[in-house]
Amino acid sequence: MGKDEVDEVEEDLEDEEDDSDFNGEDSEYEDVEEADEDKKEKKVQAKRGGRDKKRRVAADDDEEEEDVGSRRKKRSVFIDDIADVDDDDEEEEIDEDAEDLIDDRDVDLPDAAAAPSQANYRLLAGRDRDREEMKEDEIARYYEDRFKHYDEGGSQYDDQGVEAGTVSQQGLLPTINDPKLWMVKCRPGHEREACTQLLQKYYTLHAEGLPLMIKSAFTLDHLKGYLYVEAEKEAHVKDAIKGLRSMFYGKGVKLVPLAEMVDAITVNRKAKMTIARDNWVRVKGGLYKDDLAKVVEVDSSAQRVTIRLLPRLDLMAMANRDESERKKFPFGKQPSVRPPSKPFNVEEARQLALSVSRAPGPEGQSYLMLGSHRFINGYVERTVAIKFLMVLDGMPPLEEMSRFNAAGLDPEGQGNAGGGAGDLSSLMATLPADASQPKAKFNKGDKVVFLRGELQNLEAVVTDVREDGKIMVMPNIEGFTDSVDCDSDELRKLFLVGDRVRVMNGQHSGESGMLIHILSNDRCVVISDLSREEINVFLRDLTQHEESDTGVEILGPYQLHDLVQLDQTTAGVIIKIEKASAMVLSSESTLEKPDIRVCTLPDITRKVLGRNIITMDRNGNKVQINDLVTVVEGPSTVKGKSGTVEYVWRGALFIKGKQLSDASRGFLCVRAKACTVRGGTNTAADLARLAASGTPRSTPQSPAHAGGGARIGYAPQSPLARGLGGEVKPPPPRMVSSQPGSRDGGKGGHGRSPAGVLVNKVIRVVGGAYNGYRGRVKQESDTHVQVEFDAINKVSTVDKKMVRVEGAPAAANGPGGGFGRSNPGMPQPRSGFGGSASQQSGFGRHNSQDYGSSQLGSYGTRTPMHPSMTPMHHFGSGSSTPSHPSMTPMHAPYTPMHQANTPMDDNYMMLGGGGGRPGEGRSQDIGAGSYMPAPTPGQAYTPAAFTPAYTPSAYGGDAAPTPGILDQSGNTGAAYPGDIGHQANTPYIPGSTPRGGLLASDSGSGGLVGNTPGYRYTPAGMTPGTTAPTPGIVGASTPAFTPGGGMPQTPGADLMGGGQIGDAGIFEYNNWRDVLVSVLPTKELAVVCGPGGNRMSLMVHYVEQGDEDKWVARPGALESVEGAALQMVLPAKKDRVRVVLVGDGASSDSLGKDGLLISIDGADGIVKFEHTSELAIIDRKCLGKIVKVEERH
Amino acid sequence: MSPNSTYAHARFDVLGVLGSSTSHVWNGLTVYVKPHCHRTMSSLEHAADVPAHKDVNRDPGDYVALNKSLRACFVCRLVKSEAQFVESGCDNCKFLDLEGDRGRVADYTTPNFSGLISVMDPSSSWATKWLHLSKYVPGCYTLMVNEDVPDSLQDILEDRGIKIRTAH
Repeated sequence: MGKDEVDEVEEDLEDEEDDSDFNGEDSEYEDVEEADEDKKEKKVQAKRGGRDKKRRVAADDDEEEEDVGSRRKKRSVFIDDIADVDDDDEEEEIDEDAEDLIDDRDVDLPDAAAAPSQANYRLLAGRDRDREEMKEDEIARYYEDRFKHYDEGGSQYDDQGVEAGTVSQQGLLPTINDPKLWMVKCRPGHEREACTQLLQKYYTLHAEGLPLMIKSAFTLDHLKGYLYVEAEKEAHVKDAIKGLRSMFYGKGVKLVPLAEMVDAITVNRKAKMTIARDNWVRVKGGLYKDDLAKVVEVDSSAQRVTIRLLPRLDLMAMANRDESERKKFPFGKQPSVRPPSKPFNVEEARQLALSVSRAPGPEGQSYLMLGSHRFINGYVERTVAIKFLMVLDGMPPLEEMSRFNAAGLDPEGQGNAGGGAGDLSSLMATLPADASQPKAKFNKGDKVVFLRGELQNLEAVVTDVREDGKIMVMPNIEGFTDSVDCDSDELRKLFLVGDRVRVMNGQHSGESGMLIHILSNDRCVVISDLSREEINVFLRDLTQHEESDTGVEILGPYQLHDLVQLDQTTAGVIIKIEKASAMVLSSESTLEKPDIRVCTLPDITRKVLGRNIITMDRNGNKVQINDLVTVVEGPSTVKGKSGTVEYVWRGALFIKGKQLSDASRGFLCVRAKACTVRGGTNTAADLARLAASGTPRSTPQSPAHAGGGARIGYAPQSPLARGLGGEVKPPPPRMVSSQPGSRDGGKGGHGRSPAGVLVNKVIRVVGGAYNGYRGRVKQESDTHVQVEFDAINKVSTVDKKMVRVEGAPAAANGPGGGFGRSNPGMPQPRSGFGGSASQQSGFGRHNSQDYGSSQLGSYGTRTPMHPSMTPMHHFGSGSSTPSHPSMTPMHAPYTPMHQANTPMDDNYMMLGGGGGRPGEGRSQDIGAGSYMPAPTPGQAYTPAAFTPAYTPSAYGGDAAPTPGILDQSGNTGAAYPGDIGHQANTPYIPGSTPRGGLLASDSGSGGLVGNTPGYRYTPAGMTPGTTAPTPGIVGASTPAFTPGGGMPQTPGADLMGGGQIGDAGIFEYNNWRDVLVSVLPTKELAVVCGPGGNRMSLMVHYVEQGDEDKWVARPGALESVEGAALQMVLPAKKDRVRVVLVGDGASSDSLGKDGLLISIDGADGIVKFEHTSELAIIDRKCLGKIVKVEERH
Repeated sequence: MSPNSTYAHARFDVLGVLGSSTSHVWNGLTVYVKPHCHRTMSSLEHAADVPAHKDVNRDPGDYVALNKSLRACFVCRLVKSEAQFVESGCDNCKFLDLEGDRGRVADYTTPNFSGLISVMDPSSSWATKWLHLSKYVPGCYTLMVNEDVPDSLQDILEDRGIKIRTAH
C-alpha cells in the first residue's frame, strides 16, 4: 500500500468518525422520535399523517436493511489488503474506493450513524479478515456480486457509459405502475417559479405533517405556460396547485398519456444552445436579420454574446439627422430601406462629418466609436442576448463567409467598401484553424488518411460511423481484419483527382460531380454533373459518389426531366432541381428565347404522363417520343441542331441533345413544325404536291377540329350499336388503362394526353376492398387510378385491373389473354352484328403510333371486334410496342397507307387528329393513289369484320378470328371477313352522321373500298409465301399479337423461328438493334442494325456464324428489309436476349429489356434480366436473340 | 456542528422564504408552520434547499432576480441560487467542497441549463428514475445542463470514477 493510499484511508476513517458523530446524534434523535411516535399514536391525529408515519417507519426499517449493504461497502476502504494479494485487482480497487468514498460521504451518512463507529469499525475489520480467508474463486464471486450491485444502481452516481445509457434508459420507460404526469397551466413566464413554489409548499406541508402527495413537478423552458406535475392521482395534483398564485387551479389538470411521458420530460435538443467563441451565428431578427455574425465572446451567466457583424449603416441618414429627430429617436430610427451590409469605412463617415472616436479595444486594438456603435476591423460589434442568435450547424456558405471575412482583411476598415469576395486562399487564411471549425462528416465507404497517431499517413476506409461520433475505419494493410475506431479529427478525407464525388454540405449540397483539382487548404474544384460548372468546395464536404447522376433530382413528387403541367396551356420540362424549386423549360419557349421559369411545388399542377402522343413535323411526318429530329428553323444557334424527342406537348417538342447543352441544360423546346424527323418518309416535295392537290389538310393540332370529327364519328355509333349489339364481352381490364376512355369520344379529340384517359371517368371497382363502388377518377398512373368514390367520402388508389369504366357491360374481365385463341370463331359473329356496348376504346388510340389518332382508336373500341381482341394488345399498347398497330383492327385499314407511305397516314398520327381525319385521310388517300381503302366512318365502326382480313396484310394480322378465316385458313387474309364486316357495317353507314356519309361519298368509292379492304391489302402487305401469319386460322397469328402466348402458329408458320417482326411494326428500332433475324424468302441470317428506309422496314446486316458463336458481318451486305420479311431467330439457352415483342410473359414494361436466357421450358424461356436480375418466364417467340457482330478482317 | 444545526438549517430555509412566522398567508392559502416540527422534518433532513434568495425580506414573488442567480451543479444537476450553494454547498456532491468557496461554486456550477424539476419524492417518482435523480436528495434539479463539464472538474470526476450523464 502506497503512502498516499494509507493517507487516504486514514482520512476516510476520520471522515467516517466525523460522520458517525454527527449521525450519532441523528440516531439518538431517531430514538426519540420512535418514542414520540408511541405517544403520538395515542393522540388524535389526521389519519393521513398517521399513515404516512407508519409508512415512514417501514421505510426506516428498509433503510436499516440497506445499511447492512452499505456497511459492507464501507469495507472497501480496507480492500487494499487484498490488493496486496492480487496486484491485478488494484485498479478496480481504486475505482471501488472512489465509489465508496462517495457513498460514505454522501448517501450513507445516516446509515453510518445507525451503528456506533467503533462497532462499525470492528465489524468492518472482521469482515476484512474473513475476506482474507476467502479462496480465489470466492473472491472473484465476491467482486462479481459487488459490481453487480453497482450495475443495479447501488451507486449514487450511475456510472453508465453512453452506450449503456441508451439501453438501460429503455428499461426506465414509464409503465402503468408509475405515477402519472399531469399537465397544469401556469402563468406564462412563471414556470420555474411555479416549480419551486411547489417544492416549497411540499417542504412546508411536510413539516406540518400533511405532506403533498405529488412526486415531482417540472417545466421545460421552451414550453411556455405549462407545468408538469407527477402524481398518482389527479386529486393530489389539484391539492398541490391549489392556492398557488402562479398556477391556474381553475383550468384543471390534464393527464399526459403514457406514451407521451418521455416526450414531455425530454428537453428538445435543439433548445440546447451551445455557443462558443468563433462560432458562426445568424441574427434572428431586427435590422441584421439573417446576417452572418461571428461570436467574439460568450457570457454564459448573463446569457449574452458579443458578436461581430458586417454593419448595415446608413451613414447619410445619420449625418442628416437634425436635432429634433435626434431627440425623438436618440438611438436612431430603423431605416425604412435596409442598408446594404458592408465594412465600416472611417473615411466615409468622416467625410459626412460624423464624429468617430477611438476607444480601447481587445488585444491592443482599438474600437472606433460612432455614436453608440463600436467598430473594429470594419465590423460592428454588439452584445446581444443568446436568444437573439441562431447557431449555424456547420460552416456558412462559402460565398457568405468569404464576404464576411474579406472585410476583416482590411485593417481599420479602410477602403474595400465593396467587401468583395476575397480570393479563396486569403479567405482560408482567415479561417480559424482550431477545433471550432466544423468537423468533417464521414460516411461509410469514405477513403481517409490518418492525420496523426501511430497510423499517421496510413490510408483507410470508413466502415462505420458510430452514434457517439467515433469512426470505425479499416486501415489498408495486408492482413488487417479489424476496424479501428478513431475520432473524426484524426482523419482527413482522401480523394484523388478524377473521383466522382457528391457535395454534402453548403450551397452546392446535393450536387455531384467529378473532382478535377485539389488545391491546398482542404479546398478543391469539382465539375458539377448538373451545371457543368466548376465549383469550389471544401474537401471535407465531399463524399465518394460512384453513380454519375444529375445532382438533386427530386422536388416533391417530380423528378428531373419530368414533363409537368404549369397551367392550362403550358407545360414544361424540369431541367434543374434546386432545393425548393425547379427550373422548368416551358412550352412557351421560342427558338430565339427559351422560356425558363423557376417554379416551386405549388406552381406545378401535375406531372404529364403521356408517352404516346404523336405530332407532325414540318413535312407531315409523324413525330413521337424518341424520334430523332432536326431543327430546321430558327436562329443559327439552334438551326441544324438535332436531338431526341423527349416529350411532345400540343405541337411542341422537347428535344434533348448533346449539342443543345446551353442554358436550358440540353433541352430545347421547339414547335414540331420547325423540325424534321430523321428518316421521315415524307419530303417537302410531297407536301407541296399535297398542297397543290388542294386537299384540305387540316391542321392536326387543332383540337376543335379533331373533336368535331370525333363526335361525328361516334354519334351514330353508340345507340345504334348498342341496340344491335348482342352480348359483347367487355374489354379485358387492362384495356382500360390504355383507353382513351372516351365514352363520348371527345377526349382524344381534345388533345388530352393519353395518360389521363381515365381521368374524370366514372368507373366502378370490380375487386378488392372497394369492390362494387362507383366513383370518378381523379388521377391516373400507369398502373393505378385514384378514385373519388360516390358513396363514401374518400379518395383512394385502386389498381387499374380492378377498374371498369361505368357503363361498360358488367361481364367484367374478359378472358385474360385468350380471346382469340380460346374461341376463335365465336366472338366475331356476335360482334359483327352487335354493336359493341363496350365503351372502351382499347385499341386504338394509343398505340397507334402509326395510325395515331386516338379517335380512330376510339372507334375501334366500339366495334364488336373488341371482344375478339386479345388483351395483350391493349396492354402492349402502352407505348411503343411494335405489336400494337396490328392489334387495332382500325388500323388495319390504314396500314396499307403506311406502307404506301402516303402522306395521308400521317394525318392520323396527330394526337387528337382523330375523328375528323378519316374523311380527310380518305380523300387524300385516294388522291395519292393509294390502294388503301379509305376508312370511312363506317369502317371505323366495323373493324371487327375487317380485322381478320387486314391483319395478315398489315402487320401480320390480328387475333380476331373470324369464322371465315377459319374456313379459309389457307389463304392469307380473307375477303369474307370483310364481307361480314361489310354487312354488319352497312346499316351503320347510312346511320352515321351526314358528314360521314359525305366523306364516304367524297372519296368516291371510298365506302365501298372501305368495307372490303381485305382483298386488297392482304397481298400488298404480305410477302407472298412468306406471309406466314394468318392469324385467323388458329385464332392468333403471331406471338406478338396473341398475348396468350404459345399460340399455335399458323400453317406455314413453320418457317418462323421466333416472332414475326413484321407483326410488330418497326417503331421502336432500339428494341430491335442487334437482334438476329432471318430474312424470309431466303432465310438468310442478318442482324438488325438500324432503322430502315421507311417505317415498316429495318436496316439489316447479313451475317454469318463464325467460330465460337461469333457472328461475322458479310461485307457490304447492308439492306433495308421490310419488317414483314424478317423473322426472329429463336434464341437458345444461354443466349443474350431482348424482349422485343409483347406476348406471353412479356409485358410492355419489359419490352426492350436485355437479359440472359437461362433455361428453356417448352415454348417458354426463362430470362434473367440484366439490370434487375429478375427472372421472368417469357414466350421465346417474344425474345430476340442479340448477337455481337464483328467486322470481318 | 451542533446537534440540531441540520434541522435548524432546514427549517430556516423553509421559514425563511415564507417569512419566518408561525402562520403565513401563502398566495391565499394559509399555511401553518409549526415552530417545532422536528419529528416531521426528519424524513426531509437531507432535502436540498428550495432555490431562493437568502434575504428573508425579499418578496418571494421577485422571481426574476432569483432566476438570474440560479445555478446547477454540474455533477448532480441540483439547482440552487448561488448564495445557497455558497452557504450549504451541493447536497449530493459533498466532495465538491462548495461550501463557503465562491470560486468553486462558480467553477462547478453553471447558470446555463434548461428545464427545472422539483423532486419531492425521489424514490417513487418515475421522472426521477428517468432522469437518474432517484438517488439524490429531494430538491430542485435541472433537466439538462447545457455546458460542458470544465476540465478541472472532469479531472476530479475521473479520479473518483464518476461519469456524468450528459444527455439521455
